[in-house]
Amino acid sequence: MSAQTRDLRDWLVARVATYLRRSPQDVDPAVPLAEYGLDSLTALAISTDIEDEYDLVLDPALAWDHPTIDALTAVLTGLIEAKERA
Amino acid sequence: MSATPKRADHLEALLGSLSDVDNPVGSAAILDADERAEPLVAGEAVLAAFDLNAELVPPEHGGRFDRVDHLVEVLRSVYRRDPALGLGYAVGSLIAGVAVWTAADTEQAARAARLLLGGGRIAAAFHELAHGNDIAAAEFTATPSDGGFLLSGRKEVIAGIGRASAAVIFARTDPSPGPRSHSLLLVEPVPGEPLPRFTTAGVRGVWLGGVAVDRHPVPESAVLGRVGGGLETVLKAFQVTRTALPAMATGVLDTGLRIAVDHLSTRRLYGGAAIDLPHVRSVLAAAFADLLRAEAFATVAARALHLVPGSASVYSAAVKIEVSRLLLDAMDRLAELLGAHSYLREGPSGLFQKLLRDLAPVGFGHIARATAQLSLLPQLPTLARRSWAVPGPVPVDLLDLDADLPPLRYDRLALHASGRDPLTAGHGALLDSLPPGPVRAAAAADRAELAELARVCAGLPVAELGADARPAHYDLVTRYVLLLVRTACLGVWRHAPPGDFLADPAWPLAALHRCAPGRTTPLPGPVEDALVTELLDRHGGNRSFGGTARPLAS
Ligand SMILES: Cc1cc2nc3c(=O)[nH]c(=O)nc-3n(C[C@H](O)[C@H](O)[C@H](O)COP(=O)(O)OP(=O)(O)OC[C@H]3O[C@@H](n4cnc5c(N)ncnc54)[C@H](O)[C@@H]3O)c2cc1C
Repeated sequence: MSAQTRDLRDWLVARVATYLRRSPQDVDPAVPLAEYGLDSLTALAISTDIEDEYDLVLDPALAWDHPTIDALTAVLTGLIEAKERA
Repeated sequence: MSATPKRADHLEALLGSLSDVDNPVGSAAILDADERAEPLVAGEAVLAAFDLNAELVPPEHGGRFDRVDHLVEVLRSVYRRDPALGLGYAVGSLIAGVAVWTAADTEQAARAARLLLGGGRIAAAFHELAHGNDIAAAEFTATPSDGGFLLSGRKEVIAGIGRASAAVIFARTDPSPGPRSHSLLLVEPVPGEPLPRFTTAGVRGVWLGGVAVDRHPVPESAVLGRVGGGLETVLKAFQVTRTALPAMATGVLDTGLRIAVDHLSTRRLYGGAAIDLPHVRSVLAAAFADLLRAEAFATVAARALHLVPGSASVYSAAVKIEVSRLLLDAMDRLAELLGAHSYLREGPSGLFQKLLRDLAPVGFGHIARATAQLSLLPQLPTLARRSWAVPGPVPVDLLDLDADLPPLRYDRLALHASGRDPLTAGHGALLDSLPPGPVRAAAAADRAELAELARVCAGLPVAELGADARPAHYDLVTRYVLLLVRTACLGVWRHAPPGDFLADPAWPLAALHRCAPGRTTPLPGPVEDALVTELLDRHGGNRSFGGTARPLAS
């Protein structure tokens, strides 16, 4: 895993931990956000946070198609790389 | 308000006068059909002759559905008379239709359009009695089989399903929980065994049915959009109908108000006309102001569907929450004024009790008000950060109701607004643009209200904004929605053509007064006088009480 990917994943973990009001150690990136009690509408809020942090424009349904932090990290890594190449 | 399409006047004329006892679609005939719990056959014939179904089909598929505000204005003529006629004849197809126009491929859309333009109906089979608004819990299944699907399950309380030639069905295609487990299918003819009729307190002419389906095969081409995309399509497409349906229902309050003025101006109490009693005048003026407020906001939201479709998730929910509340509350207050005459099922005011019963679903059908509040909750923190705290320009195109609209882009509707709310972002600039005077002064307090709301909402914990959210959080949605409505009213007033009653300060003053936080006192005297004068003038001239002040059939 590249340093950038690790940073991104850590940032997502921290963000979700804030949503859930728990510590980052208690957020497993492989577990679907829904299992932490983020229902389908609240989970969507994460896409705007990511947009602000990484200056991206994302599909509002992002968290529905990539329901874990690991899945989000994978798709975002690709998007960030594509943006840097452009 | 927004140049009425000529065809709305045409339909109004075809439907004719409510008070004409010989009119087959007048009050007497409407009440008679309601007593028998049967559809108004003569009304359906008028709608067929008018080719109302063409209003439900977008122009690219051969119909006349080019603007949501125009669709609303056309259907208001129906809702002014008989909401059951509107629901039974058109609403199912409208709801099914928007799902098709949002998700279907060209071939599927052409098929649905052909069916509707040929006079057929499409039932909207979304809800299940067992799950109500919790649509993601729906159990009706579509199981992959032989390259297609097998449908099994029940859909209940579906308007007009017995008479429909096809249905759009919301079905589970994945047994696991989550937002990607449902799909929409366009199925022709309607599958399964019909269930017995469900009887209702209102809209009694609408046949509410259902189907029980057992392993009914459909081809893969029945799926609208992607497999698993059903919930997303519903949440996008229904932004159109959650705006349009409450907006049409303002026609009910229009007629309710007319019945009240008719009755109270002829009734003599305590030695004078009842309408001259100060309390009666005050209630009538307030109901009139609420009708204008409801229509102004609904029209701005309808324009938003065209102009800023990506933000329509917010405005459509706000319409559902507030326009329906305004209508229900105003009708209840008019019922108090009418007293026993709001309860009699005959005589000149006999239609009122039916309208009151028929209006009720505006609050709970096609998403409950509370569920619409819940849908806004998780959007509050991003809206606060991205729009409320970041001033933008006055969104003139939303507020000038006579300005043109671009085509409706179903593909640009979004699950959430990503924090973009141009109406509220333009609040400060709009206030700055108002001429000095009482309206501007009355609106000044909203600057602080918006700043406070932005501060509180920006810090809301996202995880606490789901279905188990605290009532205090729902109250924030209420405050936000009221602010949206006040902003829309100010903007519509500011951009109304001179000479139009919408450019008169009386109605925005009343609107601001009636939804200012914590205020319930009567309207200021001159504001009330101006509203009553206009109300009676329109009553005498047989014009509608809504934003367009349209001539009505006489
Ligand atoms: C006349 C009529 C016609 C209909 N036509 C159709 C049709 O054509 N097609 C179709 O699919 N369905 C149709 N329905 C079904 C109907 O629209 C749905 O069943 C309805 O929207 C949900 O049912 P419910 O009120 O039992 O829901 P419930 O979800 O049980 O809601 C009941 C109440 O609980 C409260 N509530 C619910 N959720 C929340 C929440 N998240 N937060 C706070 N409070 C909440 C609200 O106050 C709500 O009003 C029709 C119904 C009627 C009466």
